[in-house]
Amino acid sequence: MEYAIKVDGLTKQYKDFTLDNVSFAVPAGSIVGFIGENGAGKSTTIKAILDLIRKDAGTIELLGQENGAGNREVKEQISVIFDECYFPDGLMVEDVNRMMKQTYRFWEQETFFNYCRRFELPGKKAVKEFSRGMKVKLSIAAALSHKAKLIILDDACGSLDPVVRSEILDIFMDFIQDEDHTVFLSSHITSDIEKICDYILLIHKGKLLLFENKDALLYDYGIVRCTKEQFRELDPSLVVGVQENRFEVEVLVNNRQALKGHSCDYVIDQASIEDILLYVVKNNIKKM
Amino acid sequence: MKGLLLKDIFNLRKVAKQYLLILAFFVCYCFFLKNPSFFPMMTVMSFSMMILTSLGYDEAAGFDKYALTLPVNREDLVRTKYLLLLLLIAAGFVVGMIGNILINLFIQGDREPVLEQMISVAAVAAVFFLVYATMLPLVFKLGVEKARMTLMVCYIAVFAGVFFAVKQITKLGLDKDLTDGRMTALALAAAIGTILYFIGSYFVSVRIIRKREW
Repeated sequence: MEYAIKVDGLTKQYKDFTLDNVSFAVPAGSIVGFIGENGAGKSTTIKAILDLIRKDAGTIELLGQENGAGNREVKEQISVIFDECYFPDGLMVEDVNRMMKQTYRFWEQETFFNYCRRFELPGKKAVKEFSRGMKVKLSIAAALSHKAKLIILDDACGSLDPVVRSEILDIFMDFIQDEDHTVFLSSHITSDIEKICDYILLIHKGKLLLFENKDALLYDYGIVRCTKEQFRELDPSLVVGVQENRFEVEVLVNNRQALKGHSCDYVIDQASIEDILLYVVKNNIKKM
Repeated sequence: MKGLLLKDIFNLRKVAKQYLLILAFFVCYCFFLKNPSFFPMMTVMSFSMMILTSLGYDEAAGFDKYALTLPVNREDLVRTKYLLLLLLIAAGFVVGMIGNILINLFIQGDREPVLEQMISVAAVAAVFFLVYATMLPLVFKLGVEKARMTLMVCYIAVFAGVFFAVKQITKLGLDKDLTDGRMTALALAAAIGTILYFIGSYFVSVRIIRKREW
């Protein structure tokens, strides 16, 4: 299996929003970061992948199976962690274990309790008494306890503190050591994406703007700080986004190596994923 | 589906204490009336109401959305709730009849034969089957809170339906000279009608949930 998720021409139309012909393929064995501002279409894309909404057009393959979200065998190998915990309030850790044991064929009780202990989840308390972070940790513990091959996170880490988030990211890094395992991570926290992802997928207003290898992105993209005169001399094909202030112009370029040795002697800084997100989205807003 | 059903049972534990108190009240009331036949009717009614409690908990937690990411399909969500309703009404029936027999041991009132009482309670259970079979598709369509407002309408619709059926039976003269055989045939027809209505309701709910988006 080459791709864990393959989306082709996905379209979903609402009254005030359209997910517009989105296509991408998540290579198996990778971590893909899915970024975009609020309302960009991240959750809609994930819902369509999971068959929680009906798509208007396009095809979706999950673990090599078309419409995999409707296939029980495929779902045995998938874990989804949302931004909220959807276990009913009255359940306790042991109840979740017993419920999941009857739901998944390969449920690993020991693994589940190990994660619960590691995340310090109280066994005697009902879910309603858990903090938001604890609820997400419970979802993560459940997600990692049934031999899943694909984990999909829909902004799940946003409610966790930096220490726990770092621990969770390390767990995902361990998970990915098996080359069959894939993580599809939708998040607003670009530092997390930058830390662990192999690929970056950027969506804006329902359209896919960018899907690239993270290292290549960080190597190629740069922020040029220059005067207005120097900016005019820049090759327009290199310019992705521009921000101007009274003193200088900041330009996101997609090939900073091409500017090395340029007569203008530009000051070029490495661009972070957050910079790329901000410049690409802002530039796109201007174009619209 | 077994996992979903277990989750429902764990969830309903929360209201178990309240229901025990209600049952205790019913027991006291039966002693006061010196008539235990009221008890199984009330257990069937209160147990069957727990289906809405269960659906309400799922809705409050947004559980269905999560459940569909597990190896569970949309039909399983519906099937579990219909099965839970069956189990709840059966439990209400059994608890009610046991309570009835036990209360009877202490009350020196009029004693109706157990079999006749069972038939009466089964008739009440059938009414609740019809009420919730009418309501469940509305719950899957509108959500629990909105559907709860239609509960009274469902009761009225079912009672109107039963009233219409009885009228038709009278009109056709089937109620005259009720022999045991004719009585059994009518009871059987009512049971088959209830089962068919329940199955029809299930398929309507499945149709609704197939179109639903989360």
